[in-house]
Amino acid sequence: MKTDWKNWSQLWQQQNAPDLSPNEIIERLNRLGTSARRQRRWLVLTFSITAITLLSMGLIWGGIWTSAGIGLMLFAMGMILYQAFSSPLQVVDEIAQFDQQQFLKRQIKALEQGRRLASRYMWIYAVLLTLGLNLTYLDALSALYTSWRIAISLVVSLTLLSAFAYSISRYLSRLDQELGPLVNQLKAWQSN
Amino acid sequence: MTPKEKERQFEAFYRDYQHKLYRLCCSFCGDEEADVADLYQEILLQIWKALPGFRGQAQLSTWAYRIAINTGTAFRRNRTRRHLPRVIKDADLPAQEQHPKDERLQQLRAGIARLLPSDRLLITLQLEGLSYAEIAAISGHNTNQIGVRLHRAKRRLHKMLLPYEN
Repeated sequence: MKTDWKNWSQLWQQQNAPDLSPNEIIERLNRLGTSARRQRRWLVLTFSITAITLLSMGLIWGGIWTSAGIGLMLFAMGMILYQAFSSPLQVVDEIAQFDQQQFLKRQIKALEQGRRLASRYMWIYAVLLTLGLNLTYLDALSALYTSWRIAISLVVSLTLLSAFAYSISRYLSRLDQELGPLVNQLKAWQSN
Repeated sequence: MTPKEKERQFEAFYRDYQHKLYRLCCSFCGDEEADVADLYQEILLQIWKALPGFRGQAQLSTWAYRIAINTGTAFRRNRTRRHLPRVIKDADLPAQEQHPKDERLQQLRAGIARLLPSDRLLITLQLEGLSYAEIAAISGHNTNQIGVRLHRAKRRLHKMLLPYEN
């Protein structure tokens, strides 16, 4: 095994990084940073434009309830968007960077918190979306009988919430499959 | 730190660590060349961003490996992968990476990538020639346990590669 190790070591050291000069790599990293910033700005811009357009359309063609409903739905979407962009796993931890135990403790806590938050935020999103939709019905279905309005509202709300319950449970089980081994691995490192 | 100072510091860092970090990416991704390039780019980006905050509380190698390992761990989770354009193209890769001729190297890489994460880390760091104390500082294990753990990891890797040896 000793000879094997020597051979493996020599073999391993043969691998070299791409042949790029430091200046070239710095220029590319700067470009990458700009690209990431541009992506974020573009997302914020398109989201804001969509929000303003929908709210104005709601006010012009619908009424105050439609706009309030759209506003609520947009708020929920913004909340989910923010969650999607913030990763629970920090690769550079300023405070605990040089204390491995502290670092692992914080990572495990962040990952477990990430799972809880994902579940909570998705339910808040589901409720806000249903509520927003029901608010828009106040305008859109105003010409119908009250019994019809209640029936439509109930059917749509229940369907929507059931669909959310199903997709949230699927999402969480997938998340558990991804996060579970990672948390276990970090815990194993922590116990050593 | 001025942008010029940051560039100078990164230049020095890049010259010393580019190959080491690249090999660490190989151990994380096995023979998936596209993933190796993506991870390598992500690690360089994280270090580029974090470099101004490095105050020298730890050795530069410990600091860099730690960022690289954390980035690699996060990278293996699809959810945290960002879809940024690839700035390191296939054409930039060394010839042996574009057309890996050495079958033994491919087998070694695949074997290491199949190891348990903690074994993979220890094996990779020792293949880089790091001392037990350095490996302990990076991995967070106790220095006294490194020898035993490494021996077990090597045995597992040896078993994995045995069918290819004959």
